[in-house]
Amino acid sequence: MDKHYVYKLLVRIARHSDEEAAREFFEIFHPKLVRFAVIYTSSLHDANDLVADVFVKLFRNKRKLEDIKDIQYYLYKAVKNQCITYFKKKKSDLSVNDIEWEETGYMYEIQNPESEFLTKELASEIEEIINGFPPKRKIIYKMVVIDGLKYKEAAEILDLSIKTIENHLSLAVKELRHKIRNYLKSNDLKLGNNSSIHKNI
Amino acid sequence: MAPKKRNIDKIIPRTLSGDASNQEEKELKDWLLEEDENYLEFKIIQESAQKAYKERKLLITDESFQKVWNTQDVTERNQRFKVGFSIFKTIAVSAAGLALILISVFTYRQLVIKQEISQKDGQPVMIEKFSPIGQISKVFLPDGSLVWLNADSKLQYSSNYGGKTRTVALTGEAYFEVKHDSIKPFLVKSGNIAITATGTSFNVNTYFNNSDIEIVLDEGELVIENLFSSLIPGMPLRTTLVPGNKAIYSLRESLFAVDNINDSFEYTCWKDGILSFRHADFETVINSLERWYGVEFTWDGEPDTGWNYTGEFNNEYLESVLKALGLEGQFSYEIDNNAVQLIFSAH
Repeated sequence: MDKHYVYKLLVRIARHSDEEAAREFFEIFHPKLVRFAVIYTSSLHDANDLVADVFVKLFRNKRKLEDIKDIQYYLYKAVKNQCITYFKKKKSDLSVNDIEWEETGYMYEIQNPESEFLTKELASEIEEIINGFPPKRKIIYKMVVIDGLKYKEAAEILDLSIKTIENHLSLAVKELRHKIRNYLKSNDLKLGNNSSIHKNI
Repeated sequence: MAPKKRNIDKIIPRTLSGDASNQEEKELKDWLLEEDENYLEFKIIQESAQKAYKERKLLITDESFQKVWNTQDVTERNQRFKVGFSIFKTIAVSAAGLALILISVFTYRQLVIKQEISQKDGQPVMIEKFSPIGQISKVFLPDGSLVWLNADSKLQYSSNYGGKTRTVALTGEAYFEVKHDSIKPFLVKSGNIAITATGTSFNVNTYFNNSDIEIVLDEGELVIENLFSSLIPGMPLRTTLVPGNKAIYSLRESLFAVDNINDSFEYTCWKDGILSFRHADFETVINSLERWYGVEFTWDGEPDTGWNYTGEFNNEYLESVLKALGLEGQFSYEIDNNAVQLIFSAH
């Protein structure tokens, strides 16, 4: 996600009530927020309603949009609060459920995998590993590594300690590295001799 | 020297999220340079995370957006109405005027409530887009079709638009850019005619005078039908337009007249902010300016009977338009907020 671009969309919504910008903004965040809410509600339908409420409130106060410092964090947090309210009404506690990931669409997916480093085959192995993570690890990995939230932010949203976040992530990376190393070995893949890419680190 | 045992599995995710300290970044760099495999491992993890970034749209995203946008829009308009109401009260109006406002606030609220209830039932609701006087709006329909709504124009469609059909109702003027879909034709209803398109660009104008509907086709093909034609014997059923055609449907006579035009520009340029007149009479010019600038005209004296104006204004201020028109039409003008007074010199 290009933060600067998202900010420009927000300005267009705030100042001109620009429907086109609102639609684009919605399309960036709606899928990820629904998938996030699903981990609590277990129901795609309820998750969608909760997320819709958050967007309605957000768009009603268009003028304040420009003041939100980190919109992604704000949205995750707002959805989480909406989920808490939802569970209060249902008189049960908020918890991460063991759900059928595939049904809810909370699947990790690599798009256009082939590149200098990734092959299609390796990409699908990585997808498989991440989709096989225990639910909490999967959410954490997605929020931090993919969505780029800070440890502290993810901890706050998920009501976990930073230590827990750290543990899950290092276990995740360990598993991934192991898999990648084996793959590289069995396919005898190496960097070319002219490894000028080293300079780009 | 045996390399110092560092926990690279901790440092990698910290680097990817931007949580790593300078010291950790340096450690990662050292580790990356140690072995080619290290470098590859890191790059592959990093790249697979970047490429996973773009979320796949959920099936419900389009529909959900429309609901969210319409709900917030209705509430916002309602809030504005309330503000307007309190100002109204402070300037002490007549009791009759007050009652009228109260009634309209009441009915408006009822409408809002009704919409919310039916949305809960999952029943389709009517979505209404309105472009006020002095403003042109762009509407994105759920199927990707685009509509430019001219000032003082209204577009309505059901919340299940795009399900089985693509039907909209128009009052005023709009330019349509219809996404191609031969299975679900795009239908514009206006007055008692229906315009059917598959993948086309066209302009529909119902207010250029009060008794006709004008349709100009830019691209593709259109079929125009009278919705009640089967009820009235001898009425032409339908007509087909090709690019370069202009159809005028007379509401009074229920008749189509098809003409050829050289250039559709003068009919469609409004959507790009250009005000264009071709041999326009006084009344047409005044009506256009009132809508375009959100003003009201009054005048002293009478315009010349042969008043006929041809010209173009590209995103210009009202004042410069009036200056140009005044030279030709021999009037001077005064602007007071939204009221414009024209003073014709005696012939």
